[in-house]
Amino acid sequence: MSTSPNAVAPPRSEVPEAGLGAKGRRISDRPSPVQSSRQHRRTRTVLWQLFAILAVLLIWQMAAVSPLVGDALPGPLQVATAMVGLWGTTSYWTAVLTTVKVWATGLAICTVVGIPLGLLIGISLNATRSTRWVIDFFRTIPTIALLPLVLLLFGPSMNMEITLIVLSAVWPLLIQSMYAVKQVEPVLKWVARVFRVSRRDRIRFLWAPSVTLLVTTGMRLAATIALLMTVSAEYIGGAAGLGKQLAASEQTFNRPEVIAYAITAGILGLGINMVIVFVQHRLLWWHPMIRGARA
Amino acid sequence: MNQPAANQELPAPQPGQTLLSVRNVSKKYGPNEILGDISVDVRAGEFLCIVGPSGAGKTTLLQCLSGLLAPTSGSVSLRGVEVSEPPAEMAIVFQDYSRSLMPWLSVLDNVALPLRSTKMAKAEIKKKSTAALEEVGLAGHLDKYPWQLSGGMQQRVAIARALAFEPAIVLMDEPFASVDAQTRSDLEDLTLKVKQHLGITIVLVTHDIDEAVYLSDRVLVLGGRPTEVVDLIETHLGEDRDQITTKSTPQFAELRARVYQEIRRQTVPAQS
Ligand SMILES: Nc1ncnc2c1ncn2[C@@H]1O[C@H](COP(=O)(O)OP(=O)(O)OP(=O)(O)O)[C@@H](O)[C@H]1O
Ligand SMILES: [Mg+2]
Repeated sequence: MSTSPNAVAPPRSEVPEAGLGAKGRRISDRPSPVQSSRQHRRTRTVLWQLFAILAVLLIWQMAAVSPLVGDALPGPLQVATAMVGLWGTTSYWTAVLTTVKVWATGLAICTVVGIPLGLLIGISLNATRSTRWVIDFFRTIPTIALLPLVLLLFGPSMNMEITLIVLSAVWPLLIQSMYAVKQVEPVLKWVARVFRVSRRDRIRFLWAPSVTLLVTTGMRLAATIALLMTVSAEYIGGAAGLGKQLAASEQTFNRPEVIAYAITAGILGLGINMVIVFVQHRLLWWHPMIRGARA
Repeated sequence: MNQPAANQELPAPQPGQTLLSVRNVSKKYGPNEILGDISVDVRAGEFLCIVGPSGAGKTTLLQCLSGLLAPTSGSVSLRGVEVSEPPAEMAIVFQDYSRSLMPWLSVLDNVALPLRSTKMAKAEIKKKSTAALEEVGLAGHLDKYPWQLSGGMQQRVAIARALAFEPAIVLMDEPFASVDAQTRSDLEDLTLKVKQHLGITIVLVTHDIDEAVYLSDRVLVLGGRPTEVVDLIETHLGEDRDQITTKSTPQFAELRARVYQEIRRQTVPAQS
C-alpha cells in the first residue's frame, strides 16, 4: 500500500489507541485519539440544537397568537399544514428541483472558474498584487443591484440567474483559493525541493492537501451565497423555482405557504452546508482542527 | 525540472577527500551582512558540527550549502560541481519536525515520498523505506501518522526519510533542539550509529557546545559580526563514543572549554 500514498483514503491501521470507544461512523476508521470525547461532545451539541429549535418554535407560536401581530403571522401548525399540503403537489417539487438545478449549475461554473483562477493568482505574488483592486472592487458590488440590468439582457431565464450566481458567488471561492496557496507550509516546499519530489507528486501530495481546508471553506461560502442568489433572482426576476412560487403565494395572500416556501429554502441551505462539511471532514481527517487535537 | 536521481550511480566518495567545498561564501540580507567570508572543506565520511551563537547565521549558511539559498558571493560545490539547486546526493533534516513531515501521509509514506519520484519499483521503494525506518528504530510504527508520534519519534521519521534517499551527505539544522534531554542524547547516539553504519557524511548545525564536541570529527566554530570562521578543531575522540565515558574524558573537557571560550570571546565584546 505504502508505495501509493493516498491523501484521501489512508490505509486502515490497527493503531493501538488509548481510550477508543469509536462508534462514530463518519471518520471513525481514521485513527483519532479523541474519538470518545468527541462523540460525547457531539451528542451534547445535538441536544442543544434541538433545544434551540424548540425554543424558536415556541417563540414563534407565542408571537403568532399575540394580539400585537394580529393574524398577519401564521403559527407553526398552520405552516406545517401548508407544507404537508405542498408536498402533495407537483408544482412544489418541480420548483425545488428547478432551484436546485440552477443553483448547482451556477455553483459548478463558479467552481470551475474560481478555484483554478484563485490558485493561479495566488501562486504569483505579482498577480496577487495587480488583481487586488479589481477583485476588491467587483466583490463589493451588491450583485442584486445588477439584477435589473441582467434581467434586461437575458429576461427571466436560467441564464439570468446563472449570471447573477456567478457574479456573486465566485468571489469567496476565488479569494479563499488565493489565500490557500499562500498558506502552504514553506518548510514542506523546501522538503519537496531538497528531496526532488516530481511535479506530479508535489501537486498530489503537497499542494492538494495543503489547499483543501480553505478551498472547501470557500465552497461552503459560495454554495450559500449561490442559493440566496438563486432564490432572490427567482423572487424578484421571476424565473421559475422556489422564489417565484413564494412570490405567487404572496400575491394570493397565502401566508402559511409563503413561510413554507421560505422554510424549504432554509432546509435546502442547511442540507447543502451539511454535505459540504461532511466532505470537508472526509478530506481533512488529518487536520488538527478536524481531528480535534487542537481547537 | 528536477531530474529524479536520488540513487545516481556515482563512485563512492573516498574517505578524507573533499566532498563539499565552501569557498568565500558571504550572505547579505539587504544592507545586513550576515555571513562574512566563510570557507571550509567538508571531507567525505566526516561528521562536521557547526556551532555558533544564536542569530549568527547558521541556518542561513546551511541553506547556502544546500542550494536552497544563493549566497551573495562565493560558491559551494559538491564533488567539484557547483551547487545551485539542492543536489541529488544531499538530504536535509530540518529543525522543525512538526512542519517538515506531512500530516496527511503515514510514517511510511512520508519516507517513501521522495523515492516515488525516482525510477525505483514500488516494491523496492517500500523495502528501502521500511529498512530506513528500521534503522532509526521505528519498525513498529510504519502505518501511524506523524501527529500520533512523540517529537523525538517524528524527528526520527525525518532522519529515516533522509537516509532512504541514500544521500552522500546529510545536512541537519539543530535537529535535536526541540526534544527533551534524554531523547536528545538517544538521538545523538542514533545519529552516530547510523553514520558509522552507512558511511555517510554529516554536517550538523547546533548551538549546543557539548553536542557539537560529542558528535564531531571536526567542529567549525562561527562568530563575529559579520559571522566568520573562528576555529576549526579536530576532536580526535575516536569512533566509539559514549554519553558518559566520552564526556568524562579530559580530552572532551578540554575541547569543550576551548569552544566555549572561543564563542564567549566572540559574543561578550559584541554586547558592550
Ligand atoms: N529572510 C531573511 N531576511 C532578512 N533577514 C534574515 C532572513 N533570514 C534570516 N535573517 C537574519 O539573519 C540572521 C541569521 O539568521 P539565522 O536564522 O541564519 O541564524 P541562526 O544562527 O540559525 O540562529 P538560531 O541559532 O537562532 O537558529 C538573523 O539576524 C536573522 O534576523
Ligand atoms: Mg537557525
